[in-house]
Amino acid sequence: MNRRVTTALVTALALTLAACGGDTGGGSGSGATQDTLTIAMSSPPASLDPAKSATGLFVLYSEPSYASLIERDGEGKLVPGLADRWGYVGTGNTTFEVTLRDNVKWADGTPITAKDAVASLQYFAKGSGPTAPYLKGFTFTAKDERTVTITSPQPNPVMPDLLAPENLAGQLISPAGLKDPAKLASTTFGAGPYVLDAAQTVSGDHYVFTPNKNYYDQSAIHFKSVTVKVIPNQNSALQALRSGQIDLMAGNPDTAGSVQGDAEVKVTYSPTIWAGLFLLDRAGTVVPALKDERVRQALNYAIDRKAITTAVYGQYGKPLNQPAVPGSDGYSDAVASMYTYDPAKAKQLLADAGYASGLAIPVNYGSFDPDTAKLVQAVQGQLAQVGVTLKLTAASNFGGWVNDLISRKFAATVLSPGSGGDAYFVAQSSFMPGGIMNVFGVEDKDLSAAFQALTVAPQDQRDAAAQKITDVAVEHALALPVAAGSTIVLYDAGLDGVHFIPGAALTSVSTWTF
Amino acid sequence: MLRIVVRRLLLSIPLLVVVSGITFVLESFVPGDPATALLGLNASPEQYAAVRAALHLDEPILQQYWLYLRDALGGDFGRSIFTSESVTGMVAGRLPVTLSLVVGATVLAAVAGALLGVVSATRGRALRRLVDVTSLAGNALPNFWVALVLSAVFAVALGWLPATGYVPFGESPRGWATSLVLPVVALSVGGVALIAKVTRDAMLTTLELDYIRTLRACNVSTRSIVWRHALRNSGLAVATAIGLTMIGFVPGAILVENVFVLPGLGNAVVAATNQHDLPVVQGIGLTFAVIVIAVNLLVDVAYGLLNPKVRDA
Repeated sequence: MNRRVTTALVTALALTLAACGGDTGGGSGSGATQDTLTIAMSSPPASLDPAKSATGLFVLYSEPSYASLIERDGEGKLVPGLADRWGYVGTGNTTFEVTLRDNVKWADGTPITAKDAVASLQYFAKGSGPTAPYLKGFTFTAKDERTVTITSPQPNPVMPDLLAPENLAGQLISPAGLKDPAKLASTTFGAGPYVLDAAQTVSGDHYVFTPNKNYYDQSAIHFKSVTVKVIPNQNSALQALRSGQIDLMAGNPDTAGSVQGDAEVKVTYSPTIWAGLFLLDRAGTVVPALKDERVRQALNYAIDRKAITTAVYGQYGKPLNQPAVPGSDGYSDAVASMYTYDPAKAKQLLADAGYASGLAIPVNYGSFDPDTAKLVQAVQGQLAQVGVTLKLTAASNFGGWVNDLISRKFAATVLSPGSGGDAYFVAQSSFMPGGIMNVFGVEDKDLSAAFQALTVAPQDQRDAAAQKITDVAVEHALALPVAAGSTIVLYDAGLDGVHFIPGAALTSVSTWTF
Repeated sequence: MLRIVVRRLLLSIPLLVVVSGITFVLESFVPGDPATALLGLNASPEQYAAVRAALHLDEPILQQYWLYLRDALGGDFGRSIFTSESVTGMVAGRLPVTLSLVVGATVLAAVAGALLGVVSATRGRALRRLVDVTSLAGNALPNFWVALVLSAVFAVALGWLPATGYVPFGESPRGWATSLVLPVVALSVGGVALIAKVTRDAMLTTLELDYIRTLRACNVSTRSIVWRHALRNSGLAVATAIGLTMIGFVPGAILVENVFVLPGLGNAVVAATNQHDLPVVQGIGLTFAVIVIAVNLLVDVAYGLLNPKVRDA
């Protein structure tokens, strides 16, 4: 009996191994044109509901099935999406109109009306997503069958951008979806090029999208299916990319470095965030010294941005002294060379302000982001050399970091991985009273004035007005920027069209082909 | 025999209550709370308050636990705070993956360990030492490292097996087997040592006994003595070792699932713990406890089958 059992086991094993040969996961993928696209993300979406989604690369979860009112082309220019006409009415940037294109339909085949768009925008404005606060106070009305009027109580120069893919509000949700919002967490109700295939999707593991036959531009659908997989382990994702199982993944300086010289994997990256310390306590509540502009300027002179950037981001970061990303509208060449590394000057300024013996600043940060941890420790080391001690408190997850931030016990913080976007958003959230990152509610009169000027600026003067805000922020040392960090993406060399739109996001899935 | 099983099952109920209580308390110590994890940084104070009230987060910890226990005893283990998927549904969907991995690794470790144990008990000293070293090496190597190395060699460099992913058995038995080869090998490596050693020690003891000498005198073949008589009588110790190893594979599976991206309970519980998705953490914690109880029960049943004296006790 034993011999027969042994023979049976050995035969079974041999058969299995023989079967292994031809049955590997995805094959090599190179050479033949592929018609499926597989993307890897390192964490699952909190929800598939656009009103609860995160920004940045997380749009890859919602973009396939939710088209935006306004889209961006490969160069970052605003181009028609679900809407084909838009613009401010009159001057002053308070009233904006956007018109839906002819014959555009939801994925279920019903036509999209202005009333639908209004309902979706209203739902989004009440949501908890990171861009919902930007719609605060807006009123949305359907002017006619296809036109929506948006009015803002204050002048707002970025309304077209708010309706573009990177800010999520323009990702319209159909009335069927709004009827039962709880379903939006796991099913899609949009008008995008693809729809979620719930049967093939396993929540938290992989999301499968198949073509939407009611999409207005069928030629933009290049894949029979788009799968977004959750692979938390960066190494596993890299193995999967190398073996052809996935076609694109978010990378970091380590993984990007390890694929150098690999002919089948390409890397693309672009500065998308500024990383550094938010000097929250500019009113001097916790640390009186920070009220003095000279102290804050001293901090800016005391750090060697080039050295820290190279250590933390390698070739994928750029030293930065302003809270604006190169490529964004607020990036200012005028102040780009302020605050060169000068510890002697830093000590002088501290002495002038009366802090020759040094001072201590409690700082909180999130240790869940390795780059943040490295950055803040490097800054701590350098500031110690001019007598400034950073007392660091680490939070091991995002929720913990938020709790620490809103406790107002910390005079400075680091936002992981950084802060991005146009000057309007950066200023509003970081420096204006009421901004999320302005937990002590401090106001700088000059910055507020520059901000007001931006809000009413005509579109062709937006850049100049945005740069003025950055100039004020740098001259008054409202923050301690260190580096511009990049978002890095690794992808199969056979995939065309993948690149970053300067200062903003990745090109959309509709522009990629094999 | 039946009495043993029934008694064990009854004792497991208070055990599960204790496990769920400890999990609840431990999770409450993790910094941050589900409301901030769910809403992010940008919600208004009213929104936070609303979510906290809906999740009963401001009530005393015992009150929250009682609410959970009351629902659980009625069969309702709650829904994920993030996806609203029912916990029982989630567990049911992911359990086959983790079980495939754990059971597969146990079978492989048991077969390999028993083989190595028997060989080192019946052959010469040099072979015995070699077996010792190999099995201890397997025990010393961290299983996630082994997983990464196997993946780099067999999936990336040679391309023989998939680097990540799981294919359900119903979809393709061949794909299912292929997707499990590397994870099962990676997980089993650490368990072989204990089983091999226990098997060897038990075999050596058994082979010294009088009845073995009698069998040899009766000209029974060595093969029959070793594999049919001695191994079976060493079975009690080996069964215990296999049971312990299988229980040890459950936490090991978490790391292996992470490396190979298998949609099992391990990956789900790690994500849920970080997000403060308490119902999911509780549900999966209880599932692990049930698996451990089941394994212990199986070992006891195996005792009964192997040793008739235990059966009638």
